Amino acid sequence: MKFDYIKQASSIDPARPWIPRPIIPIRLANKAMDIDLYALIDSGADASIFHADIAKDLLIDLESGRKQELFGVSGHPIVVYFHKVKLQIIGSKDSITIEAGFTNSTSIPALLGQADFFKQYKISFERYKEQIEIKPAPTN
Amino acid sequence: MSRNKLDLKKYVNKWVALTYPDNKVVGSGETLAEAKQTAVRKGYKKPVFYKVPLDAFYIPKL
Repeated sequence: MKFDYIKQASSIDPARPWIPRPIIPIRLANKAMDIDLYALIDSGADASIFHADIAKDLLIDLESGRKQELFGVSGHPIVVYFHKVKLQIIGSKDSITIEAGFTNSTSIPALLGQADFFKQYKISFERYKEQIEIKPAPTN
Repeated sequence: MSRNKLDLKKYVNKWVALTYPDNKVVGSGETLAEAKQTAVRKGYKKPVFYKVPLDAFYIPKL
């Protein structure tokens, strides 16, 4: 599957060029509940992390998950609760199971990180073409 | 505007509900539930949700 980078206008300075980001449409599911989201593919994130509002929509009991503190580039910790959910790239008929972290931190929207997502897909960033290509990872 | 260009400046730190794949804003709110409610009220039952970030992302590290 190929996706174009999504370009977003700068909120700090509207005169700045639009910022292209590798953002793709996904579906997260927990049992009978599902939600469609745009998520940033973040090769620097060790895990896939989502805002707690998403857990609430999926009827996940947030604090029943495995609790862990994560640290970002600012060095400030955020508390994350991990839960297993199904992830489907919109446009693909297959889904994968991931251990997704959910946090109340307002700075986290939806990030697809190394554990699970990068492990199960071959992801080619073609920034010069503003395109991402995603294929299932080859099995050994 | 092409469908992969999003001008969401007025929604920074808010949730938006977008049609897919043409990315028209059909709902917004401080919470995902609010954005969903406004979209459903307009008849959009399965939008794609996006929490609009500032110009910088937090990058978590385990």
